Amino acid sequence: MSALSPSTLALLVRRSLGSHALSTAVTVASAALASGLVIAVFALSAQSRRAFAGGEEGFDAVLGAKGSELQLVLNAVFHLETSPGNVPWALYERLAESPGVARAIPYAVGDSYHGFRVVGTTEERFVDLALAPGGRPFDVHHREAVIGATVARETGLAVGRTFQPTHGLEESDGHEHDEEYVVVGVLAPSGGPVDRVVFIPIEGVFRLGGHVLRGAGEEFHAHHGEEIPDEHKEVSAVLVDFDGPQAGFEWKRRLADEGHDATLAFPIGRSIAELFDKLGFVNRVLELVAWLVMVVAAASILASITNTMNERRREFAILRALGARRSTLLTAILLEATAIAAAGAALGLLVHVGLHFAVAGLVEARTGVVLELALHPAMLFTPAAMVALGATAGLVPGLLAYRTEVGETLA
Amino acid sequence: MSAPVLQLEDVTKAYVAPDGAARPVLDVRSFRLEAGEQVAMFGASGSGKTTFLHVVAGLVTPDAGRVVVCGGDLAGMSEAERDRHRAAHVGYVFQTFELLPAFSALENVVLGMAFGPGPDEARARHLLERLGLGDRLDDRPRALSIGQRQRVAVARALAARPSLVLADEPTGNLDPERAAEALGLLREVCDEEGASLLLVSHDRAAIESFDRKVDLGALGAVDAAAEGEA
Repeated sequence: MSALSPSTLALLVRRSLGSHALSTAVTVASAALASGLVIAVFALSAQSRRAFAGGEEGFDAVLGAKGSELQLVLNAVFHLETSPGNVPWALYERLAESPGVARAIPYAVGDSYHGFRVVGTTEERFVDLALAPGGRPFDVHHREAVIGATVARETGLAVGRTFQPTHGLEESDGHEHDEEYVVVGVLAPSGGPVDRVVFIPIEGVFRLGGHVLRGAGEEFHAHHGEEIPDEHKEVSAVLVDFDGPQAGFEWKRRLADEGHDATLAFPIGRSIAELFDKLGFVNRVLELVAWLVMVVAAASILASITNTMNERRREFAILRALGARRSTLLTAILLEATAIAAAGAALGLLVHVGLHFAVAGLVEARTGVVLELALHPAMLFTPAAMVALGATAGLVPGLLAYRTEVGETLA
Repeated sequence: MSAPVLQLEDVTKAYVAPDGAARPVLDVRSFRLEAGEQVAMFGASGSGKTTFLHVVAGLVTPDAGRVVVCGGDLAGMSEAERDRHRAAHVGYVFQTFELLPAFSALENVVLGMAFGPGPDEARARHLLERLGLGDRLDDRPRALSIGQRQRVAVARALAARPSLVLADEPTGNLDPERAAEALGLLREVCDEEGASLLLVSHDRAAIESFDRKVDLGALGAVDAAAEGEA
């Protein structure tokens, strides 16, 4: 006598799922959403941390006004938040010329164009940045600009086109400056924050109408044709690339010892990592909620199959009369629950892809940071957990089927 | 004399009523069914006809007595062994046919052998064609007439090449003309397949068509095997 063939079990499961197609579809959808949510929470969290904590193009530190290192990094690197203040030009020059500093790039911020931040800087900023064909770095002696790829795409600006920066960071709040800049270069898309930045010469920021310099402790207004004495200049931040970590620690100590009103956010990745650590509990809550949604999905599998038990009691009794063992019915129900969970788990991967692109799109629109769709262990352990939960959920209806008494049901 | 296909000795079964009292529903002193034999069993409503079939099929355990089906003593078997024994040796035709509504005619018949010798679609197809349903193989039961459903049920009962076919009022839902036709077909196919047939019914016309008729109510008496024969 042959053992029960897999094809018979498959037929039983297929017909059962098919005869309750609507509830099967709804249950599969809920399992897919739950599974996709769990994967997305884990994978997006890891990817965000990697993308943000990685900093930008290898800069090690940010020098800025005294205050929060995190605010400094968010403002200077990711162009979020407001600038915590300025530091004197002299401090920037001293930093730039000190041993152990490979590169120091000054930033002056506070203006925008169509919501994109305008950053005053030097030509050195473009050493590591690729320009799209037909473009070049700006000449600091002219009103020229280099714009990020997203700025070009969303504003329509291109090489040869002109624009006037807006005072302030919000388009609606500020007034347009009179100075007109011409775009001379567009950066190649980088998937980083610079895609959303308009770079102009730092001297240009000093000279924009209405700007006040307080580097010397008193107000100074730059006038056309007149040189700006260095003591009046100030910068919002300085991106620093050290030769080695020792120089970074030394500068951090020096700033503290000398009592400067300045902060060195070093290393950049640590500040972001601390942010993610602070937000860790939010992540834990999200993970918990996602797991709970998964348990609810498993419960819906249990409920949807159990709801069919009454109408199927006769079917089970007939199968038993045809020779099916109790364990065969239990197995069929467990397979049914497992099949629903497995289909949901598979579709969950697609749900995750959808969620990833939705969230990544929002993050990129806000910060310019691109979250790559990368492999994550959650893509393995979540479907496995969903299938295990589904199979467990099948135990209750499975045992009901197991307990079917033929004599009572077919009497 | 060859071994009987079915043998019952001193079999009793009682159900417990809601008031706690035991209500006897089956009392069979002795009963035998030989290989290839066809028997009609009759009795009043509630006389235990269906319980008799359930006991023979191993679906219900008697309180006492010995039931031997195709050489296997059911009392000595575990439930799983009885299931396997039933799947291999016993075919069952229910009064309301009890086809599985989500399965096609062909799949219903395949399920009749799936738990015994294993699925054999060619045999299922052959049986349905023999019963005139070659063009309805993929139809679900609800798309079939009552007579056609009855024929699918017969094919399913014979699918596993059982030695014994149990039929519980198999013509109860048919009009007299169709009932006679269906019963004739059942007996004919059982004969072709070499299966013994034990049919329980209260349909007088159906019972009269059998050479051997047994009154279930009389089987509990002393010398019941002889006295029960009508």
